[in-house]
Amino acid sequence: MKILEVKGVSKNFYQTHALTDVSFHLEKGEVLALAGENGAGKSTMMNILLGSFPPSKGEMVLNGEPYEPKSPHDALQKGISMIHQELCLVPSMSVADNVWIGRCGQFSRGGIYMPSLCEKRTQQLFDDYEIELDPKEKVKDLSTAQMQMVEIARAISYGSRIVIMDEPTSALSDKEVKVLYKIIRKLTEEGVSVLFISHKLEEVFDLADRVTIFRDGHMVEEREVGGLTMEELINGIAGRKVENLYPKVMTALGKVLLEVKHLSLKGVFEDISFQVRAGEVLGFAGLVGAGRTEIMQSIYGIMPADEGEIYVDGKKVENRSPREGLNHKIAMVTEDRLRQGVIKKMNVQMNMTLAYFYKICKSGFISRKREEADTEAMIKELRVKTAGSRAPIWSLSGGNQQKVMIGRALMTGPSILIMDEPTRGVDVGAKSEIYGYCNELARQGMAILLISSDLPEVMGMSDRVLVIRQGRIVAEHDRREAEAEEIMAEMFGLPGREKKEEK
Amino acid sequence: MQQKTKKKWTGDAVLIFFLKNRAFLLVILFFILLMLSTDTFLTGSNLMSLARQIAANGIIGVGYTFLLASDSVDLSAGYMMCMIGIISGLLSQTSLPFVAILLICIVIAMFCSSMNAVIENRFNLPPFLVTLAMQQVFRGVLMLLSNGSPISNLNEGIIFMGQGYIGPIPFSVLLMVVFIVAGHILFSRTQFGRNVIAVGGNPDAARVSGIHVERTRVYVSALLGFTIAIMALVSCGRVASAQTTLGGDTVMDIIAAVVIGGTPMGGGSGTVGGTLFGCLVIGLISNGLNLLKVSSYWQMVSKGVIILVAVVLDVYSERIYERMRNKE
Repeated sequence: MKILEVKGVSKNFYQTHALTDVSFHLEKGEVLALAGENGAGKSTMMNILLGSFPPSKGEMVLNGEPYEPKSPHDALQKGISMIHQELCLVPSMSVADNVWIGRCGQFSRGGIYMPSLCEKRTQQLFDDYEIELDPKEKVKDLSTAQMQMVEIARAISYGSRIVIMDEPTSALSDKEVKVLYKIIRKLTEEGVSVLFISHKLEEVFDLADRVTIFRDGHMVEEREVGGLTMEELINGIAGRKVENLYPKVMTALGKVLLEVKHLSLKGVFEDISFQVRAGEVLGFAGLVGAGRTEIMQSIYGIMPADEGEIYVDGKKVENRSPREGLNHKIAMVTEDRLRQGVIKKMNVQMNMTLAYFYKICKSGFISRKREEADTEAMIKELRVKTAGSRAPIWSLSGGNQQKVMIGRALMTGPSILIMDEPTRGVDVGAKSEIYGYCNELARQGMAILLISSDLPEVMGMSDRVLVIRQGRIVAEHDRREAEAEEIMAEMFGLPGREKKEEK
Repeated sequence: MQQKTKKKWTGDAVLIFFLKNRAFLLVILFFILLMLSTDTFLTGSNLMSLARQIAANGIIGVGYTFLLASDSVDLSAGYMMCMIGIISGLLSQTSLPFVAILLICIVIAMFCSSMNAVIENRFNLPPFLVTLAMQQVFRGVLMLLSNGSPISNLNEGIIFMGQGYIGPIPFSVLLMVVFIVAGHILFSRTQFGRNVIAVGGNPDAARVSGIHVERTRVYVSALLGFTIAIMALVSCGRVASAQTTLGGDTVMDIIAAVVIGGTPMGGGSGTVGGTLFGCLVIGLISNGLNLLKVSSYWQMVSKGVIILVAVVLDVYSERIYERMRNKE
């Protein structure tokens, strides 16, 4: 019996198509896994199901009735609950209070809240699902894994017909994962349907009845898990071949500009070593959270490493702040344009010169003529579409704002350029222009470190690709030999694949 | 492209123009109103006393503009000013020369003020909380030092700062003009000013662009301390005694002046010139209501309302910006 049906749902954010014509359905009492790369559209789909925002097109049917949730609360009322990736608990309250948060009224007698009733009910719930937690304990005294269990208990306490789980095991230890598996089986026996998102593909095989694969905002495949091989699943996720979208221009490589030896930061990344030559584009592939960004941040000086050495142009350097990184001719285009990049209240010029204006100061005074001339030149060079250098930054499109960010890095005159997700949230036109700069800068002898979650992009633009998983470099590929499926397997860390490699 | 921007004189653009220059427009409005409703307003002596009233606020307003632009706030400034005043009063009773008193006051004020920023940085606390606590500390210290009573017999140099004339112009007004001009240049033309705006606009972006965010915050607080010291001496000199009770009101007046002037709470931009007009607005309200013989309690109410309106207008202009952006 179909409990939920999604028909032709699309979602656009301004110019970007996050979802295009997605259709799938959920049976009563089944576990459906959603698989796909970062940014494939899974989270957008979940948010639409939860009513965080409405779809641009398409409709959903829940239990035979049209389903148009107005908010996550509304979705909850209609029987859909979710276990969130980020913990949403109140640390100072007890486990029981957190599980029943917002529904304490049912444990009141004559208007007075009775904690003991709430705790008793919680204990029942825990017994039913074999969760080993003390309902009286304060949440702040729990481990992260235990907190995640509280979150899970809350999601099932609603008695929902559909439970959505977004990477529920990422914070759990093996012991709790087993408990979660049991919970999921018990839920499905009771006729509850589970929508399950995970980057650990083994879990898909262990738990799911069917899998739906998302790629670039499209639902590309729907399969029964029985009979599906890991090979097929990965091919489905990686999908498209590297196309001519990436017009990589090969250049002769020069001397080693940056060398990193055994760089480690406790709990984040370990033993990172690589070299980049002048004119080389070194790509970094990996999942979000694998430690790519943090490695770059420690090279640049935002988050200095504990151990290891960095050599720029043969000389050992220590970058304890971004200013020191800039002084060693390293520049970085940061990943999060809104949080770490654009200053909304500043105009284009001030945004562009932010990292460099200290260099054109004479005894503290900014040389206004130089600032203006340099900005105009950079605007022309990068073909930024703006009403002028004094236009407010928000009047520019996302792609052009990103060009300003690249301009900011280039104005510091770097010999090593780090670009962290330079094309995220950027339209196709600006994308190809950014690839164009990448080629041109490499031709001029710059060393470029390119991080991207878009696998075809990082493969298409780089001379070499390093694969990062859980804070370590797990593989290195030359441009010619790289294959999408192989890199994808390394990113996800599939044991079978790696053994093959060793042979 | 240039042509295109000039054509955009829509209703929203006009509104923005008025909101941006609201302090200036308010000053003109009050001027006209007071000219028409009283005959004592437009006299030389009244205007001169008005100028001297706003001089002290204008000086500290410069420091406070930097502070608000860097997305910080300081509630302790008023009592710190009182404390510095009392210290200068105590020092006046010794044989120390004026220059020494001035320097000691400046050093103490800059130290105390930068301590606020150092604590905020070190423990990652919001400025509101830290300065709320420090306000009480300064208040206690000033009471301990003064035994709760004002100190007269001030050093002649201090009296001159508050009451002296250079030619026909009061020294304090001259001092304010110097601070405003220097502050304007520092804010809009120098590396330091740009750092302040960047830190207030988006500290994360500033940090990854190589700006020392924490250091900038300490410098801003030190600058505020400097203006507090000068203001303390000017206002003590004006009434020829060091008062113990003016602290709380001063902070409210300053914040009101800076926000009305066009420096938003929340930082990222600012205008030192606007602060001067903000101070004028606050000064005109007190002066005008005095002339109209309105009770000082009503003055408090009206000042509070004006501050509220200024903050609302600030949020409102953000919304209009938002609307203009969505239209593009």
